[in-house]
Amino acid sequence: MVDRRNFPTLPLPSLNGARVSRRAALSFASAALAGFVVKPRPAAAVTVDITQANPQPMPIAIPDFLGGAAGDNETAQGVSQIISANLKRSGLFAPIDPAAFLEKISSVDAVPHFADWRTINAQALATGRVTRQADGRLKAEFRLWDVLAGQQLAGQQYYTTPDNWRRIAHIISDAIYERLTGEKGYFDSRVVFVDETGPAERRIKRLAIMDQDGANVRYLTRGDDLVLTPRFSPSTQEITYMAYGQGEPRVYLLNIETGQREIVGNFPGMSFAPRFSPDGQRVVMSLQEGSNSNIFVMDLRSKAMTRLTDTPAIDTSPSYSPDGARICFESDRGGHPQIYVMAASGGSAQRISFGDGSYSTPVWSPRGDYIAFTRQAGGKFAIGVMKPDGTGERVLTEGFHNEGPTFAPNGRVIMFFRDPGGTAGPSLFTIDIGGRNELREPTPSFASDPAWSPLLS
Amino acid sequence: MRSSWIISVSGHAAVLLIGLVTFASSKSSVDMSDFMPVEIVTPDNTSHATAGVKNAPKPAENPKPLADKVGDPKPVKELAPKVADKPEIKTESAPPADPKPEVKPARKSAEKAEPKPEPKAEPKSAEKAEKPKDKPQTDQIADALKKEEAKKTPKPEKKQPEFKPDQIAEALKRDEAKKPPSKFDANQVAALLDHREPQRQVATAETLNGAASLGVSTGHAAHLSQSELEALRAKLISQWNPPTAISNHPDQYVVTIRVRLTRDHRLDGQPQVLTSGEGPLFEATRDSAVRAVFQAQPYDMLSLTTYDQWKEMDINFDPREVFGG
Repeated sequence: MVDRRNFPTLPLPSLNGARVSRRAALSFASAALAGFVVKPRPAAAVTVDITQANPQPMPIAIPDFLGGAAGDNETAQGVSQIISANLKRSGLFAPIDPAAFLEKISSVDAVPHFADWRTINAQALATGRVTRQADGRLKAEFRLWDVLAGQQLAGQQYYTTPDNWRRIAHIISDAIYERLTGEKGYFDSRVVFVDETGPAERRIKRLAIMDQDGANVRYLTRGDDLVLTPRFSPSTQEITYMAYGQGEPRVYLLNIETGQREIVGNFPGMSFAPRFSPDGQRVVMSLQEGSNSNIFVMDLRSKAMTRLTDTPAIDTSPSYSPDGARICFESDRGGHPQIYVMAASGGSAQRISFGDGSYSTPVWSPRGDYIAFTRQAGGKFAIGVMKPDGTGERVLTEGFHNEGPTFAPNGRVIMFFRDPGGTAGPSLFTIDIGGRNELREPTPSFASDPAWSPLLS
Repeated sequence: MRSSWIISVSGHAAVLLIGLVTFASSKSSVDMSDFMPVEIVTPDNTSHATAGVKNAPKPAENPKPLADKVGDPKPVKELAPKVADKPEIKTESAPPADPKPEVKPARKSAEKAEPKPEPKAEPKSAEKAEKPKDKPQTDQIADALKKEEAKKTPKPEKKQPEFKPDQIAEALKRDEAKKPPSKFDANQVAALLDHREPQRQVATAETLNGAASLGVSTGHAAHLSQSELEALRAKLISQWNPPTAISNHPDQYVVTIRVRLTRDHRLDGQPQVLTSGEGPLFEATRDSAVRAVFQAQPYDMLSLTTYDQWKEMDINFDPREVFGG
């Protein structure tokens, strides 16, 4: 695992780096002390109201992290490159080409020469160092600087095993993201998905897991069974999914670390579309009842099953709100499949989708502010979001076939899969909830049914 | 008989009903709120609107005379009777604890630019003594004027104690123009006024508007033109990149930054954040505003001639409209 320690603001007596004069150090100190003092004061002569803005990716400079010893340089550079790639993929940052850098960072303990970074229009600067300790562990440190105000915004030290170096890079990425955007990051997370290989008529589908940036792919099943709709438990150690083993589809629980697998309940008919409750204690799913299906929840400890809906219709794809109080699901009780919301204990449901076509696979954002869905209309499949009361619906992407949205742990990015049809297979994409920054997620082969994990730390 | 009653009643009822429906619908078709009074205002008007702040001192607390020099100096043929010749009479309003023993030459006191509440030797102060509390608001010109009025029209009770010195100056001019030639010579007034010159400074715009005046906080100070403000806003808008995470509650993240600027249009020291708050979202929003203020340098859209107006500014970064809140 990863140990984290605060890496506090540089002690001022040490501010005598090669390019930092005593005077600069003093002004830095006074800036740090006096910069953000809050005092009630009479208004100035002129008051200007700024009610519009110009959202754009923030230019950030991430010079190669320093190696504590010669042998650490490669790892250190790898860490800074991963951070740069993470921030760039988020769409909120614009890492500056290192070729433009004027100052060569030679120590992570010296105050940078801010003027050099202002010249290349950097607004933030991240410096760091990776050192292999005597005990074999890896120490990674970073500092985040506000180039314009000349202040340190964040500083941390992490200790971990050397094979965890990518995670360190993701954790630092999250720290930078959080300090600059004000909300939690999502880089230290994983994605479970269905890896698809082989020709279309004999496609082998295996459960696979990878880091959110596509690295460290690992296969969880061998491909004997047809697997669908994997979902993470909040604990991140377990997933639930549906598989066609011998005969009818069943819902399974799988421990990622141990590989242990078990069937969730033993029901006469099909069980499908499972999803964990936010506390990880229950799994909500659909059970087939004749030509209909209804939603049930199973307590994982007692194995007790509770019916939540009882309609002569197909109710499926249930998803909890992050507070566990409500469930959104898909139902064709009104004719076409639409999205409904009900209390987590069942009871009457309120329809929230009213657009043309049919809505399916609703999933509640971990932030609680949106429900993402797949909408089929006019021969096209769109991925969209709406607020839990059904307002604010917007389509993020539309095409021949898009399906299966899943939220990043911070609710800002959605991953889904797109199937172009024909002989080609599906692939994974990410897009932010504003409908911008659509990017293809790297996977080793065709991929579908992604499910994003919570943050690992 | 009965059928005619029925016809009559139903007929009237129908007329009433039609009338109700007609008037009700015709009334709703006219939306009075669509009419708005429109006043054409030129940019010049708005540029010269005087700004104010809510907590500004009341005008009464700022007794600085706002009158400028009145008329050009002219050769003085006959000076007004010197007030120094008059006997000194203490008024009732004289604070006993403030003896202020220094008795200046009366002429000098008559020329004094700033009226002070302490008692002074006044010619013909008998009528003044009737209203001692008015004294701080009058000045020597007013006295001179009253003196002349008293000479011409014996109506000492007709006083206007709330006269400001500049109003008095105007009244003086009016009187001069109105009155037929009399024993009062305009030159005498001119002489009186002229003699203030050595001690009274000609008021500049800065002197006149140096103190914040009472008014609304959204106003703008005199002389900072609308186009300058618009250019300033445009620059700050182009540099402001607030975190999108505040979009659910943008009303909670309005941040005010106070900046001081140097004459070369750059920040004078660190910007001050006047809004308090906590949490990562507030910090990110606050920092985005501070960055915008740094990035918008140099503020060369602001003219040096109005430096006094923009050397210190409060900038409200308000994300409500940005995120449609």
